Amino acid sequence: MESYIFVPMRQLWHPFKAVWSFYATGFREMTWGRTLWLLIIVKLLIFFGVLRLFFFRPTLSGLDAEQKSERVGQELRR
Amino acid sequence: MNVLTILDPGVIDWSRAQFALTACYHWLFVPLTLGLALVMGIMESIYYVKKDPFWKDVARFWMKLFGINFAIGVATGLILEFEFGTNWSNYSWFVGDIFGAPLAIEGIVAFFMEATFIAVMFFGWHKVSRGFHLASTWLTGLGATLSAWWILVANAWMQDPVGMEFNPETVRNEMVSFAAVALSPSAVMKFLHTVSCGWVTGAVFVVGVSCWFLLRKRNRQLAHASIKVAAVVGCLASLVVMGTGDQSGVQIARKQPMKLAAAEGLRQGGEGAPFSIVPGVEIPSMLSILATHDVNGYVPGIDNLLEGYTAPDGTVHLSAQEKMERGRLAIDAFSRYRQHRATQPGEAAKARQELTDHMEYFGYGYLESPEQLVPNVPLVYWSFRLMVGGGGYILLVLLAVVWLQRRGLLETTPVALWAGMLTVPAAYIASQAGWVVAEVGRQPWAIQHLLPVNVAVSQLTTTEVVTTFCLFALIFTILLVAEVKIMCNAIKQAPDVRREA
Repeated sequence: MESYIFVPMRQLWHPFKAVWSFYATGFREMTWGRTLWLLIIVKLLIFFGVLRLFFFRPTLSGLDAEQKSERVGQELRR
Repeated sequence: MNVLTILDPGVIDWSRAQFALTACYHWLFVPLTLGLALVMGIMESIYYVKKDPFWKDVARFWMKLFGINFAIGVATGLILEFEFGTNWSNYSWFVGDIFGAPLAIEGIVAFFMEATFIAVMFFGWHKVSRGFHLASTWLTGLGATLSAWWILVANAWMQDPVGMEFNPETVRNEMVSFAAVALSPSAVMKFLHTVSCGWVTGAVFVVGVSCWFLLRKRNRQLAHASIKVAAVVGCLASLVVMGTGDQSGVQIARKQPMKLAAAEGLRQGGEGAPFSIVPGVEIPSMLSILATHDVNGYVPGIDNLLEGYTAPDGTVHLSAQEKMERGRLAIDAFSRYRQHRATQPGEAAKARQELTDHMEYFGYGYLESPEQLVPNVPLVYWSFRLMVGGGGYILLVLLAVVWLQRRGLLETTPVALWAGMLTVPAAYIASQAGWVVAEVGRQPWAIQHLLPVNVAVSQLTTTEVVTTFCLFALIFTILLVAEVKIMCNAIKQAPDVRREA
């Protein structure tokens, strides 16, 4: 019974484990890449945590499609 | 009340400046990514074929520089998308899904292809087979190139809007032919020209750094092997840039004649139009050859385009004033449609038909004078010369480097090594200048003929835009300094790669 259920599950799990191990080992063994990852994280924090949040709110956000059409339509009319 | 009467004029210029700053910054990284991907792919392929570990070490060194450039450049393009929603909201809504679809595909392709294979490329040297690793290296480059394809499709559509229909009900353009959008001649030429320009940039980066090694008399084997590959790649890519540039010129002459006239500073056109090298120095009939592939081809000048003209084949081209009149009819029909669509279907249908009849001139209706159709001529004119001059300089230097290296004279010719190093700034200046020609040259249009920038822009205050502009300039400068520092350190610490005795 066990062999029917658990062995295939283990086999199914194996590729995921291999991929996980591939990435984990890769990140663990990084040398100069650590500085780059730090830089990427800081950059993304600035982009999404500061710029996107406080400075770049889409002008039409909060409106549904009908309201957006109405707003832009109004601005394009002379 | 309409957008033109309440808009702070400073907003347009500052929003354009902000977008230009972001795009120019983003473009510092993209060409090097595209170019280094090709060069290191070839180097690793040589390793795969020859099984010589020397070539593996050479490829790994350039891969490291590719990684640094990729890490600093990644996500810088996202800022452009922030700006679409905030600074260019009318434009973003008006373009509809035509712009959204390519950008969405780009996001998915970039994320899955690049994120997957770049990891194998950096982490997989001792974990996957040589063949799988090589495939991953090429697929990383292919992923970056496909990303560029979709971005350039979106950009080309703004220069040459095709494959869509304007729906006045939703105030959006709706895609009627994906193939027409994705495979328009403008998109194909823009892609080939831009990507081959990236290949040149990557190649000259490798040549430039290698020349620096040779000048410092260090990493000689690495430098020579790198130059052997990159100089040839650079020469071939330069030829592709020239060929696609020629085809782009023909395309621009057909679709954006004002851009061509501005790039040449041509006030009065005609048959057998001359090409201006610098003011006062011209090659007779050359512009006609470049623009039409016919020595007697007709090329309209700025004044012809503003006043209207009849081409030699009898085609009548309307004056700017006439286009503006028709544009106003289109906008008036649009207004009446929006006003009557719920209450008077008959009137609305009539207005919609009038809008359809004059839609190709829609954007002209927002202009107040014909002169608004003329872009900044000196800026476009000199940017064009920087682009072409830079490209010519690069090709000449690369040919000289190939020739000298084959004769074993490269190391003993410091002038050639210095010239090789200078190809790096030349490539960046030329490619940035190319974008200035493409984008400043199409002003005042956000979307050619349909939407000028003064209508595409959002209703913000100048203070808001100036604040974000300054913030960007600061962040981008810090990031750029960080990149240059990390890149220079990596180059200085280059391993002394040697062939086994």
